[in-house]
Amino acid sequence: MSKLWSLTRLQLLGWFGLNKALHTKIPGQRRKNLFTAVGAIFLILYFTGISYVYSDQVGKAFETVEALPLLPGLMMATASLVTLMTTIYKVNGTLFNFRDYDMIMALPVKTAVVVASRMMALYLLNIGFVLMVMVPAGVVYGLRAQPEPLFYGRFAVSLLMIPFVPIVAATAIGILIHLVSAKFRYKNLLNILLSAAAVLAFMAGSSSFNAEGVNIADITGALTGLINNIYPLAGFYVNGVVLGQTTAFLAYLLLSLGVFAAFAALVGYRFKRIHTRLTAASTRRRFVMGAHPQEGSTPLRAMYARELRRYFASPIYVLNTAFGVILFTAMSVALMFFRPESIGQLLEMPFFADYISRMAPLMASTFMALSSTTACAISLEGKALWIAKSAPVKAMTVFHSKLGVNLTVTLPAVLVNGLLLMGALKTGPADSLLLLTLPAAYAVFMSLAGLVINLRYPFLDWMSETQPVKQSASTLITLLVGMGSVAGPLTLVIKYPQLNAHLVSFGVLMLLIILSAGLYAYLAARGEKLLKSLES
Amino acid sequence: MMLEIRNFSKTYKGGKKAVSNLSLNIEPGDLYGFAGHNGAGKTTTIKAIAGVLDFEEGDILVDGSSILKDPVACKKKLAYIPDNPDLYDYLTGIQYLEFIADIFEIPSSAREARIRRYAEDFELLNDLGDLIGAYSHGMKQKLAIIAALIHEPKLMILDEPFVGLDPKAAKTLKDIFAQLCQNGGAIFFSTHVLDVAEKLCNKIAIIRQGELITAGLMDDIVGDSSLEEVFLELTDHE
Repeated sequence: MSKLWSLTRLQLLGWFGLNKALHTKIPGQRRKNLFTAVGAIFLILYFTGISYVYSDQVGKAFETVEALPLLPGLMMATASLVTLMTTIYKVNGTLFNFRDYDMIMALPVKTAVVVASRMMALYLLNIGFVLMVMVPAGVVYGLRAQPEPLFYGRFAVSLLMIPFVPIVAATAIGILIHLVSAKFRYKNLLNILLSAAAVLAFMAGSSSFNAEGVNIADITGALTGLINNIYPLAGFYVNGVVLGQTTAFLAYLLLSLGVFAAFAALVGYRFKRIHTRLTAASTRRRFVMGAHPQEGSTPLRAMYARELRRYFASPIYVLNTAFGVILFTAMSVALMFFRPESIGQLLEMPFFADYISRMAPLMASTFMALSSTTACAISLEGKALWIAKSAPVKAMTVFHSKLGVNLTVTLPAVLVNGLLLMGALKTGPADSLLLLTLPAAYAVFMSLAGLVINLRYPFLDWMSETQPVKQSASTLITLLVGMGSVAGPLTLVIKYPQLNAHLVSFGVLMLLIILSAGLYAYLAARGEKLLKSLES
Repeated sequence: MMLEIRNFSKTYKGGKKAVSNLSLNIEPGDLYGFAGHNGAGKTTTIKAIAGVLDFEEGDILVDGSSILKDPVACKKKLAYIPDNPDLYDYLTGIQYLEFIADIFEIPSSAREARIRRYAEDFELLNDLGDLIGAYSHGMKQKLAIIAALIHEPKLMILDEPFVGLDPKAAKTLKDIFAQLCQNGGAIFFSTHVLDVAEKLCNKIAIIRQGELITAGLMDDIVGDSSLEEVFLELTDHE
């Protein structure tokens, strides 16, 4: 057990630069760490607050149809589904493709313990999210239903079980996707496509419940169907935890723990073989010089091409940064074929139609505000940063190549989806113009903001790509900046319907242009020094 | 002067002084060894010369250009190879070399011949189509050396260049060093392998706790003794 904890702890210390933060002696770094910690606490409180408001609204609705006991079940199913979807593409980096594999596997520790420690890391990554969803749901249920005291005990115990089965399912899917794509030449591209398809399929599958035509007399039955549709294990959860059926409760606990333990043992048994198949690089036949002559290129074009290759070489990088673009495209295409009201129903967002007609440019911008490849572009250089630093080019050339990749991912999506939305929503001239310019301004702003934040908060000594992409201060702060920049104006327009949404959008556009110009000027003035000061 | 280090000092954030007031001159044709214990300041000095480490005190001139004032011009003239060259694992060997050739703006007409020559010398030509991620440590080291040579640098700065190389590749590298120095270039490299330094270098510098304790012609410093004996005496007793 102590070995399992030691191996798990080793990974935890690498998250968000935690260990560095704890041991730094540099005053400036301490200030930065404090800022990051405050940001993280704000983000946690923000999500918990939203989660509480959502649970309260759903609880109120469920109470009117006497289906309140389903509230914890619905939230548990939602948390499980999100855990599953967000874990699929973490599997490779956390479980198999980590840099210290040789060092860890050479230790006198059973392979099953190594696997268990990697899966524990996945568990700990998810339990925080589960707590943010479930604790507010439990509080809302407790206040509204006034359940027996034993409920709280069952609720607390079951809380810790929630991530187990989704992690097992995600790991199985992740391994399968990696094994299938490993057989092909363009394995990374296939990996990206299959992972995105799996996540989209789960999203579509979970929201395929159609509320139309439901008999109002059997609304509880219909809601139970909805929850089971999202996550079949939720039935056991509701019966066992909420309704207090001992058999169902024990079945839920045993099933969660048993599936996790059995899967860890199974993967442990085959771990080295799976690892070899996933990480073995195929060698081509004898290289022939001059068989594929290449034209020379400028330093900037060479840097950009290299950066683009780097981007598409990492499925977790692509899936984490391009998902906003994929969802944006899915929404635009859906709006071409379905009325906004139908999509709102599908997404369980009753106000979607009203919002999209009033503030389409701001809603479209949300996707761009959450897409920044630059937030970890410097970190991903890792130990190879010396190449960019010793290259005879200005730091701005390196930065331009990184900004270029973000804009390559986002701007075509802005243009195509903007045109699709114009056609689908039959927008007027002001909305049409803003549909193109506002998301584009967000794309530019997020490229620059992500890069500056990453230069200030680099994470270069990572062991797996998952760390800089998903567990770094830089991506966390960039996410916070992106969310804040779009949540502010959206809240303003929603809260004060009398406000002219065009005017607000135009104001945001101007602000983004000024901020982007400021960030670019900062990069030009301080970038060289910042890049040079990075130590890998 | 090919390389001029003037009163170079480097203090890391947190107050740790890595190098203190170091001055050194390297002339065309010099094959200059740089020795010192672990943590003595060798890598810090080498990184500062290569322009990958910022510093506030002193200056470093490469063929007359300051690395602080005109880093791009300096970097074009030199080649830098770190002690453990991590490369881009997602590129093939040839893609990496083409990338470096583009960055150094080597004309297409010249690059193929140079890549072929050095890749053949280091017996890596057949493997250039493979991903760098599939290379062994030694192969990565060889690729880093080829990449450093294709722009025909005037000055090579290397940190422990012989670690990880097989005997044949080490011999090839020594021959390349000799050739470059004969053609008016210069080499500055750190090493712990003192007998290699003694046989190879015409000059040597020894650093201890960030301070240069001796520098000059190998024959003058070693005299009738061996470099190992001199090194141990200087670093342990001074």
